[in-house]
Amino acid sequence: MKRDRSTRIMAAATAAAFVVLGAEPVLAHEAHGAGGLITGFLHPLSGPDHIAAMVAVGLWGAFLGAPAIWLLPIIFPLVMAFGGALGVMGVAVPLVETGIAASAVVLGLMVALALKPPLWVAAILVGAFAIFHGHAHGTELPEFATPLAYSIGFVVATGLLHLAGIALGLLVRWPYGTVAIRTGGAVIALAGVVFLVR
Amino acid sequence: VTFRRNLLGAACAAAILLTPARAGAHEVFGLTGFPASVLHPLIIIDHALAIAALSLLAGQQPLPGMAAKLVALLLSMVLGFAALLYLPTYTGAPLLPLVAAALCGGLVAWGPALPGWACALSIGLAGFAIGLNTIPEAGILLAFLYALGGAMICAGTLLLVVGYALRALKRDWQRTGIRIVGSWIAASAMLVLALALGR
Repeated sequence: MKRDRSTRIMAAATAAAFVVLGAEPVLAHEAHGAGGLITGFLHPLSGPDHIAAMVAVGLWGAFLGAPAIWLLPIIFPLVMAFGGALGVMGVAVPLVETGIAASAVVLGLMVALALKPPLWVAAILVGAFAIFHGHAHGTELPEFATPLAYSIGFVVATGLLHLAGIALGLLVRWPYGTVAIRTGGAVIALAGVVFLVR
Repeated sequence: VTFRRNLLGAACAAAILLTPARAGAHEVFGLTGFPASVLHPLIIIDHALAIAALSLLAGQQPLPGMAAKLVALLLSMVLGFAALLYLPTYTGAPLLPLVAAALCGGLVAWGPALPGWACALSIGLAGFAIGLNTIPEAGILLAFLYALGGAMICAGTLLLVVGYALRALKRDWQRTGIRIVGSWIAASAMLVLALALGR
């Protein structure tokens, strides 16, 4: 019985890997062609700096526990929309790319060091970085024919990355999980340093 | 008298359902005519977003009752549709569904229980915005009935289905999930509003 289950899990994982790895050539035309839901959805997933920072938000939320674990994924999209609005309207925000890379470094360090500041500090920190991420997305928005579909796509993808981070972060319930998550935070912070230098 | 009323009602219903697709010429998911009019709000993305947001709000907020929310929605849609007939050149109208989506989505994300009038007013604003932008395919009475009737059935059904479904979600993480989806809707709407206003 146990063997059956593990075989099924392996088969599912293999199938999922094929789907994920095979997705890029299939979707490549759509993603870089007309604007739309899929283009918007793939946009945050195409930047490792975005992915690292979004997952770090979720991981950190899980470390902080309730209510931060749920509050940060609500705050982030709303503040990101504000940053996106600035980008759309052509309001310059200095050092956007540096801010995005720095978000990976800082949030990764927060996870690695298991820092637990008051909720308002965490909210302000995450909100500040959300402005950089939103601005980067927002400046690209006017290029797309269907901006609403594009916006929905990238907001949902960003939210799902947070939820992925939260799901991984739930491992903190176990001692070995805490070590794994803190190691993951350190890896994200190191990746952020690479993004900064690059 | 009752028999005559029933007969008149049946005749009207038959006229609407049996009339060829001219009144609702747009094809939606392979359907034409009145069924296409019912599905039409779902393919107009800003209308769909506004309906999703108001349905989430209806399910999340305990007050007023679901019947009152439905009445607020349907009445405001009729008002919006009537305003469309008298204010056809109002230039800000196309943005109103997005404003309503941002407002209702933002309230869902915010979370706390609202007074009943505030919830009904928000749902009413969304209904008015959708009614104001439900533009018939042709300038004939039947096309007007198709467009308004279809949009009302679509929005009303979703409000009830989503509303009652969400009421069954009692756990904290489920309630927070609703708030997260609300924040996604509000964020998407605000971005496109910024784009429209910034142009």
